[in-house]
Formats: sequence, structure tokens, C-alpha cells
Amino acid sequence: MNNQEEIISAALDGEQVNVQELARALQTAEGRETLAAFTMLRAMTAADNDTPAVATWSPVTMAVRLQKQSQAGWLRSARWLPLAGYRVPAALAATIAVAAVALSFWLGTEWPGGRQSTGTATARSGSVRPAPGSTDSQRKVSAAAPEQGSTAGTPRPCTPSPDALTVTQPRLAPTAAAVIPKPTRFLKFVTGVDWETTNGDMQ
Amino acid sequence: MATSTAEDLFGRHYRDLYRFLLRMSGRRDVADDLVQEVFLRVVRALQDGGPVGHERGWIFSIARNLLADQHRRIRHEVVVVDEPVEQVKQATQGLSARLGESLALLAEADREVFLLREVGGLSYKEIADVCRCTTEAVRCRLHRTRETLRTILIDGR
Repeated sequence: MNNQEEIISAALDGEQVNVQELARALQTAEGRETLAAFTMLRAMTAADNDTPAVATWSPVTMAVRLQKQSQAGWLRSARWLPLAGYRVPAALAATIAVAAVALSFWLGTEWPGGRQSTGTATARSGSVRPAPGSTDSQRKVSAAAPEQGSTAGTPRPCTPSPDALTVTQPRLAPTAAAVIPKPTRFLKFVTGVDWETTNGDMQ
Repeated sequence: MATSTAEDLFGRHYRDLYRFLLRMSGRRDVADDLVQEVFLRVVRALQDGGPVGHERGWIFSIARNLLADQHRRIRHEVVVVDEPVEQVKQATQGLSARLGESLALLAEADREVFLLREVGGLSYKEIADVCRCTTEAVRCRLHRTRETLRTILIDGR
């Protein structure tokens, strides 16, 4: 490899070279011919003026245009709704609306004033009012079904009394707004019935 | 703004980039596709953060990588044939065709360095960064390539 020709090549490209060595290289005929040949080569390459077709760069300009649109960001393309005097994105407004509905529902169910009685009359929950004329012992009647393994004493057998205790409807609070349903059945509890041995059969 | 930078980059570099890709690939359709791909990547890169280093070197670096991918794809797609390939030599040739033919005879690394310098206008340092070699290697390869082309095109040997 000719070092002088390499220096001429680098000098032609504007790179830093040793000036003295360059001068020495250009003083020779071979050096000058090399410089001329390399310069001609550069001119030939520069004259090679192939350019791409229009169709080559039109997709690129389209991509640049698309980039412009995307750079506008979602905030620009989002739909804006007026909310309490402020412009908020539609998605945010929808979220606020759903949250407000959920909160109001929760408050409605959890607020004590919002609680409502069902008003359904049941034997277990209903108060028992002794029939007029019954004695105190006769009033001690459990409205619930006999519990198994109950520690309560065995019921004292006694003759059934014609007086029956009926279960009345529970007294509702005067502020209750619910419609009180009509009872569908009446349960008759008779004092002195041995539930364990007789299964409630009247003797 | 990043969008105007992309358009500016395109306006400044697309012609030289096309010529580089054309001379490297030897095919107009490949050069067309690769130019598009290069600038689409430029647009995406500008959205992320912008070029790394010198913009021209960066663009040609993208082009070089895409070219390498293209060569790998073509290499896998080529079916090996035992029949010898006949080389057609054109008697009357324009400058462009002569230059293209001469460049095709070079080794790919030499052709790449020559085109990056003559078409891309990159400095030795930038070429070294793109080709991942030293500036001394760039200097040596350029001189060797010029000597070869001189022999083919000017001296007619």
C-alpha cells in the first residue's frame, strides 16, 4: 500500500494529515495523477444522480402527517363535556356519574332513616298477645317451634283451654311507609299441649 | 417540534440515502422500500426521543442495519442452483451503469465505506461509528476502494 496515495485520499476527504508528507506526495507525478484520478472518481459519483420516484417518498410524507395528528395527543381528540362549568373529558364525566350513583345508593341503604321494615308477619317475630281472660301461666307460650335439646323443662300436661292465643300482627311504627300485607294464615297455640309426645295432636 | 424535524430530515437526506441504498443493493425496488422504511423508523424514533449523535450518521446507520436485514432475508430466500450464472456485459453503458457495475465488483465492506463517504458525505469518524470499526480501517478501505475503481473506470484495466 502506497502511503503517499493514502495521505492524498485522506486529504481529499478533509481529514487531518501530515502537511509535509502531503507536500512530498504532491511533488511526485504519481501523486498528482492519484489526486486527479480520485477527484475524477468523486465527480463521477456526484454525477450519478439517481433519485427515487415520487411514489417512494409519498408514504413517508403520509407517515409524517400521521405523526402530526398523533402528536396532538388523546386530549385533543377526546370529546369534552361541560360539567359544573368545567370542560372535562367524556370518560371522566362518565366515571363521575357512575360514582355518584353508586354513592347515593350506598347512602340510601346504609342511612338509618332509609331503612325500611318489611312488615311481613311471621310467627317467630310476631308478638304474642294473650287472649283476653287467660291466666299468666297460660300466657307463657313460646311462639317458636320446640327446640331440640332444649334445657327448658318438660311441658306440663294440662287440659287444653278453649281460650286460644293467637298471633297478632306486629305493631308497626307509625312512620312506616310500607304497605302491610294481609296475613295468609293464622297459627293457634294452645296451652298445655305436650309437643314432644303427642306431636301436637289434640287429645 | 418533532414533526417538522422529521420533514426537514427527509428533505435533507432522502436523495443521498436513496443513492446509497441503490448502489448498495443494486436494485431500485429494494432501494425504494428501504428508503421508506428508514424514514418511517426515523419518524418513530423522533417520537421516542430523537436521534443519537449526528443526524446524518444516525440515518445512514439505520439504513445500513436495514440493508443487512435485507441481505439476510435474500440469502435465505435464494435457491442454490448448480448451473453457472452467465454474466452479461453491456457494450454501451452510461456513467451510472458503469459506476454501478464497478461498485458491484467491490467487496461489500469496501463498497459500503466508499458510498458512505462519497454519497453520504460522512466523516471518517462517523463512518467508523456506523460500520463499527476504527478510523484507520476506514481510511485504509477508502484508499483501497479508490484504487480499485480507478483501475476499472479510469485506467480501463
